[in-house]
Amino acid sequence: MPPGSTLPQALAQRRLGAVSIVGIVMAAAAPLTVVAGGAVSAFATTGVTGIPIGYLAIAVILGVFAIGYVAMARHITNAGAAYAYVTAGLGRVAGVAAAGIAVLAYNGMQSAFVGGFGVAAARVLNPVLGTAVPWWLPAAAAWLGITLLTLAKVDLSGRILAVLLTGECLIVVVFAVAFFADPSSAGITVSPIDPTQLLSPVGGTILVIAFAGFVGLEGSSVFAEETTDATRTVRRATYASIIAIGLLYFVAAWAITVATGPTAVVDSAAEHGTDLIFVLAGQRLPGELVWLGRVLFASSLFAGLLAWSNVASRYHFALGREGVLPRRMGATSSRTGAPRNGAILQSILSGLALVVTALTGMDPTTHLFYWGSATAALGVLALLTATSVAVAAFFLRRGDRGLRTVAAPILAALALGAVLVATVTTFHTVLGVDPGSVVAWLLPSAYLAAAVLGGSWALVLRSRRPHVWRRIGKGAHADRLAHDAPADHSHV
Amino acid sequence: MALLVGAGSAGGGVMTALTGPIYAAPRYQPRLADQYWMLAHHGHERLTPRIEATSLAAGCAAALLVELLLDEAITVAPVVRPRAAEPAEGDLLSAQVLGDIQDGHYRHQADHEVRAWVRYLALTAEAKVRSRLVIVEAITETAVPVSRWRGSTHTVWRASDPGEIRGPEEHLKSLVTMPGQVLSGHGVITVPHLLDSVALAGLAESTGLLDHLELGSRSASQAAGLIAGWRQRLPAALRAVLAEMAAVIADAAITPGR
Repeated sequence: MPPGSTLPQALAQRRLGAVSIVGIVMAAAAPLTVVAGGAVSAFATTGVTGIPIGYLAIAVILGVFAIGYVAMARHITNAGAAYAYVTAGLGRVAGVAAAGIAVLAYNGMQSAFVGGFGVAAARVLNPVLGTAVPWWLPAAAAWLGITLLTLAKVDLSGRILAVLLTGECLIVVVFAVAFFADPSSAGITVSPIDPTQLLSPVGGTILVIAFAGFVGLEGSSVFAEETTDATRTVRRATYASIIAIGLLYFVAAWAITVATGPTAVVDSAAEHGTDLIFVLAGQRLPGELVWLGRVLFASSLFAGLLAWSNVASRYHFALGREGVLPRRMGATSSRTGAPRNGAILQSILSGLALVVTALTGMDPTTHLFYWGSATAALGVLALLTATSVAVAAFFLRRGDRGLRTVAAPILAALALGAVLVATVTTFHTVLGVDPGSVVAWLLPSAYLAAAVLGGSWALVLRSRRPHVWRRIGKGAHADRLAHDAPADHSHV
Repeated sequence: MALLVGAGSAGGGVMTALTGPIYAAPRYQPRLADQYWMLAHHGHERLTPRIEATSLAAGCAAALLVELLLDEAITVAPVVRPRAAEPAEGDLLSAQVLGDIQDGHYRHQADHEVRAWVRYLALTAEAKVRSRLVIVEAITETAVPVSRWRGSTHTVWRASDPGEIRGPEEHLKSLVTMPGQVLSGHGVITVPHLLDSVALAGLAESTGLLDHLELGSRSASQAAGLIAGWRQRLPAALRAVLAEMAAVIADAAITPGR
């Protein structure tokens, strides 16, 4: 039997490395989904052409955000990540308020992906089956499949994920190269990447849509406890994800405008929807490659579905383990070890969204996928803004006034806060509705309601369940606190 | 910490509380990890686990640490440390685990928290506890063909005496249905065999075993409530091991597959 010093080595073999975390984060981000789905839907819905520059700008902002985020990672080991940061920095009331926002946002993203997958899968199946497959059928099948996989604690294995992600990224690069090599009659124009658009009235719209492509990035620190070296691994994984995602989206979104021409991209996106990138590719590349791209688009959405299902389940589980949500949410299946009730809750919520969209006849691409993901992005934007403030507050209380620990988070908080305010005030543009439309204020207000509800619940816990109040944000240590009894005098 | 052995079941719960668990004259004295392993398996022709592998492994690992705690061979606060440099007396497995801890402390000056030890021991705990049961002939190991068509074999484990295997379940059932005077009281539990029993109950509860056991007139949730109360009366060190084991299982629930 090896000596005690082998213990960390033995455990390290089962730890996650930076590459694994990057893969997990990017799977949740779903690059091909963002490029073919998110960016194109944004062109069509908002009428704004400056989406490409938004990705670059957000990558820079998140790079600054990551400086403080990573610095705090070694102080926080909690599967609830962002809400744990807010708790540590701004207190338990703010923490539970943030948790309310997170639960709403991540379940919203999961629901959005259900709709997106349904449409994408139907487009793959239609020519194969020779009939028009209704979108809700593959969506329902995916919803059921994801539920079962999550309950069985089946994640896509690292190898499968690596193959799918590599394929996704390669297809995006191949399409982008083809678009640049054979542009529209307008040639390769730079107006879509003109940074002055960010200062225009549509700047907030551009930035929140771009931000939606990076949602999932904050998950890198969730795995801090599972890494060999929390600080270094999380730092590498976070920065690698930002650079990879940012560059890919920027180039690919720009390439789409080059292929259509900047003045025609909005109309083309409105006409073809999420099929636009494949229509453009079909004009330049062999049909087999385009069909492969469609398959990878659907698989991207499926991988994203599984990733978001796990993220939402994990959040419910973490909150249940601490007692913020009913303790049942913190239960695991004795057969599979999966966070059983957390998974069931997210399944019910996304199932409801699917049923409502199908029964009301709403457009699954615009109303479920695009609105859902844009609204989820707004929630995560609010979450990360609060997290930046929390990071600065956390280190300031410790007397640390460093560049990484205070200056960078404050800068990030200001930038993200500006994006947040610009987005909320122009959310009707994001959604592509009239300024006076109810949904334009109803959807953002849901986060305010969730935050108020969460904060109020924290106050109730403080007065009625102090033992739960003490465990808020403790994550891995909550179980220990749950079983601490009053002092005893045993010799053991 | 050896269990007291009694014959028959006369005297019911009070006898159980005073003298310890009563088995039908077992040939050996099962240690805590053995009892947990037996509790976590069932079957006639072959013993199969009642719960998933991670929980089972963590339960066995925590049980091994609790054995050493009850033997007063280690302390666990703030980190796991041996009390002395002398090797453990008794079974080889306990000696092996203690030897690891002693090696780390004395030779490498490296002490680790309970959670790290649970994770480390969990890598091999289930197999090692099973091997201990094979050595004492509580279970037998047999190679059986995978199928009629394939030439390969796999190993199955069977109970030497089905009554012995069911012993811990029967004991737990009597504990929750007739807790007896001591467990119905208040204050820290100090009676050695009760520490063993409550630790076993705590392991069963935290690893999700209660849902799979026959507990007489008590439902799993009722039993869980009772056990939660008893856990609060365990010494801090035992509570800590059980809590860290629960944390290991919870962390595994949210860790993505490789």
